[in-house]
Amino acid sequence: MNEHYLAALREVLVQGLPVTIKVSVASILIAIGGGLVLGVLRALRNRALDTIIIGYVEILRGIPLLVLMFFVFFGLPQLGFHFLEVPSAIIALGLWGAANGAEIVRGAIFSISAGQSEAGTALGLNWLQVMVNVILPQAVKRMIPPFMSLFVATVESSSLAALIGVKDIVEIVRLRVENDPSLWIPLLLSILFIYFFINYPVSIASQRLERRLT
Amino acid sequence: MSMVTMNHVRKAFGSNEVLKDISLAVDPGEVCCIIGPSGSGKSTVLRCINRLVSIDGGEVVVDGLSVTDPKVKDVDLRRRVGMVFQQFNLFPHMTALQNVTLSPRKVRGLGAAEADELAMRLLAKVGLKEKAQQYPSQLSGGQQQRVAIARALAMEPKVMLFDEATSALDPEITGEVLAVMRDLAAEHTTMICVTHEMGFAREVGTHLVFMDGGVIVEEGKPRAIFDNPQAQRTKAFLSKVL
Repeated sequence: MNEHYLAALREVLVQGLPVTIKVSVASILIAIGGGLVLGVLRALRNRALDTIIIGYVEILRGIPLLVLMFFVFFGLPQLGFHFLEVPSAIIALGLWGAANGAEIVRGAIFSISAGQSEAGTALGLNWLQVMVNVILPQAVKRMIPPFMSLFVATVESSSLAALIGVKDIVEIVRLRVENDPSLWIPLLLSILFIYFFINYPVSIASQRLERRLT
Repeated sequence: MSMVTMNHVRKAFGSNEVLKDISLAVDPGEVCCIIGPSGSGKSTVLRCINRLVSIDGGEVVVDGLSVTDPKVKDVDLRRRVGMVFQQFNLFPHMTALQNVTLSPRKVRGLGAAEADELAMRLLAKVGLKEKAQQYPSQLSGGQQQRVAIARALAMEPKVMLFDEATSALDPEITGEVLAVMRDLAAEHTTMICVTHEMGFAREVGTHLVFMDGGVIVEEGKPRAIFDNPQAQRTKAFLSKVL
């Protein structure tokens, strides 16, 4: 069992871990970028844009992530859009993250007092200049903790990608235990630690960054 | 020609008519003080002048530019109007110096060195040269408001608006802000001040406006109104605050 365990663990670390990290990092980058764009657009208070963005956010947050992943991987090919397993997982997780990110960014922007944008406007700055110079530098600090939680949620949710065949750490474990069920407990405990060691540094880094910005 | 002219200005927020037919002229070098009970529309009058609030009817002309003229750009109008707020509204993530240089750099297009020089001169003028590198949180309320005045002056505006600039300050430190405002008045800066400082309105003001319920009830020379108010509402208000 010991040899089998070590061989399986090696496979989890060498093959699975890079995939888990790749999917998570790419997804959170989409979430941050998309969230910033959508959240800032909300601050324009344009009724048509608001309706579209609210619709996007509510739909994406209202459906189970696994259904979204199935839709991208199994559904979109029916409509003529084909993606491999890993890109499908990243698209689904990224779109889901962007919906959550949009709410994070919107909340942070609207938490800055109206007096700040009024002062910037009175100084002759246009909307974009007020946003870039006055509002966002203050709002970014307030976005860090929720984006950190979102990253942790993204890493955990990336395990769903195993169900569309992405060979992440969960899928590697599942393939390995098919031959040797005695590996279930040691391997599950192992990936539990792996998830912890991905998420814990992120949490520490975000606390440091938050402190440095205040 | 007047620096700021308001003709029959009307403004409502929903069903709440805040300004009903306001007409007012402020000449260059005048210090116009607007007094009146809270909710009378005083702050809204100021906000109509630099388009922070759009008007529903009438006309506001600032240094020849009409606020209702769609061809008049926001930036051209706002560069002519400096504004100081009750809550200071300094940018907390910028030093005093950065607060003052923001508009010169971004709006007027000055280079960094030129903007810094202008800002240091203005901070010296409000007595805060040595605080240039401090953040707002490191300054007292009176110092923050003086930085805010320097920030507004950095636009080199034609008219300065003060929206209850001393109302958020402890009584013992309103003096340092009022002193700066007195200096500006002595230099013949055109000023429109919404204020509860009756002493300032009386001694520094050249023009006094009493507002109540969205209308100008009485206006004229400050001394004349303070000593001999004509309207009943003015009398009632002054007897409460003096």
